[in-house]
Amino acid sequence: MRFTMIDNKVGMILLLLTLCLGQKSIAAPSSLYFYNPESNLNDFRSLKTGFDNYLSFGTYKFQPFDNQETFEQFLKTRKNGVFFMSSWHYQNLLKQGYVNLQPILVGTLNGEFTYTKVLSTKKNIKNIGKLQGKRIASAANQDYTQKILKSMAAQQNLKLNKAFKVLTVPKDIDALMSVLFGMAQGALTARTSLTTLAILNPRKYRLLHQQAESQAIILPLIIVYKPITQSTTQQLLNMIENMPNSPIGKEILAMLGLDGWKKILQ
Amino acid sequence: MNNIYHWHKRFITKVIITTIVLGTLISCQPQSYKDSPKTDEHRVLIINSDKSVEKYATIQREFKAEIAVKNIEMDFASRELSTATLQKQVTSIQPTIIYAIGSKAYLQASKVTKDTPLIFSSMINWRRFDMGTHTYGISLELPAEMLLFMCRYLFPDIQTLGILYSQHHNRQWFEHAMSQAEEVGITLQGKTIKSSDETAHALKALLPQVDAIWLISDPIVLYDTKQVQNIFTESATNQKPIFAYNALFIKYGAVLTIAADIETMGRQAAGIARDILKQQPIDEQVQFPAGSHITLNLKKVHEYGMTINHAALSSVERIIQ
Repeated sequence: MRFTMIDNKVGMILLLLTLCLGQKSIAAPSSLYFYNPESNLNDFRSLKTGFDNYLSFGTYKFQPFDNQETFEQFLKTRKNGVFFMSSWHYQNLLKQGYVNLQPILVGTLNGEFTYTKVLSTKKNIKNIGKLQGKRIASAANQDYTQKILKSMAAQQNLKLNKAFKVLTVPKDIDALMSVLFGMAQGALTARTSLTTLAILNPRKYRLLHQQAESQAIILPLIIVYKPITQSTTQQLLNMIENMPNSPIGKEILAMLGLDGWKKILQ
Repeated sequence: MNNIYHWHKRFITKVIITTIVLGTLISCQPQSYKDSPKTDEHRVLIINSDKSVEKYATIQREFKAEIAVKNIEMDFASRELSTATLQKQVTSIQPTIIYAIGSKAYLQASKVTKDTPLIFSSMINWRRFDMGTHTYGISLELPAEMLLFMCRYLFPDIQTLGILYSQHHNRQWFEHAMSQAEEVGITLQGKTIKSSDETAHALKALLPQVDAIWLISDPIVLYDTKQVQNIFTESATNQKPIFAYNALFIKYGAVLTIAADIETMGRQAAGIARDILKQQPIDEQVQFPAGSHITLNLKKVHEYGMTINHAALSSVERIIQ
């Protein structure tokens, strides 16, 4: 009897220990945190539905942010998870001291992981300095647009006396239409958007003059805090990398203006 | 000595009385919403038809965010504003610019502005209103090119679009749209109607000839909600998708809607205001909206078995699945 009681107590202790150890070995679910102001989608429900469907057989979550400050506050407190952000934002974060953030994947479009921005006008002008003080339509935010325009001016060895007036529009095609219809004097868009206009409406495309082109810009990144401590984070990364191999994954990528991922060599 | 004392006493008394009188006169000046503005300070009077309406509140917020001058706001919904009351406020505030959001605000503002520049936005069919020489604005209607471009971009198989319209309201628009459709390789097939009774018959005749219907803003075609519902029901029976100009048609079953982007319009209005304040020339008295808001009903796309160009999905702001 006594032996049985001791066995039971030992058994209980062993069971409790197993449960505790077992709990530690079950990793917390990983999440994909998204912030990209360059994405046209301003209703994240479709993106969330897409990701929820795609990630449904895991315990992964998709959480979008629509505010830079809120996202960066979250980034400070969160040391695990997977982050989707623009390369420009990532570079800014590095300058702010986020040295433990490591890009794992870079988005691709038509096999390329970079793109360029082109400044187009309806009037043919000598150089982009003539657009100082004029309205430039752009789907990117003010700061980023001004940065690109300044670098274009520097490429043309121009010193600017005035800032450009930026009219922020929802997407590249709006910027091109703004110039064509006179709401803006210039449009800053991706080269691919101009190519689309050339294919769909060659007449309108021929009305535009390409005044400057930016240097290559890296497409959005998938980023983690290094080192990766959770197996679920690695699993989520694998699933993201496999998106081009599934119809739902392809559709989500298309919403984001991508068609694949390229692994970044460490 | 006594004379000097009395003289001083009378002098001081006069100073005190003068000070009191002047102080009283100054404090009796009419106060408007905020402290009386300095005469050399720019002021924008924003008159909102109804700030409780989200789109009106949004456009006002975007406008204010873009323009760094003193803004004074009036909301028609919260105050019963008569023309006389508004006139008094305008005289008191002496705004440099008046910005009217919505038709109600514009109608009142246009009566009291005289030479003050007046900017408008969020007015359905702005052409029905009188415009002064100092009036500028943002149209609610996008150019036809925008829908045609997105139709071609998203649905490469759509070759012919059908449009029901009344000659009186949309003849010129249709003729322009036809020439623009040619540029993107789409054929427009139009059917005109003179009264709303003709809509059902005209639609039945049109549907077999087209790949999809383009629903435009026409008061005869869209006579009432029953008529709208009938158009959608008949088109769905014939498996013909409908593209429309406003997201409210999604609930009826529209596959694609393209509307003016509200936030961009607020920014555009602010741009016009800045140009006026800096005395810069304004090329167009009334501008098209620079931004568009596209809603795509993917569920309906799959129901109709439509071919969609996935590369175009990144140009869509809202996708319904």
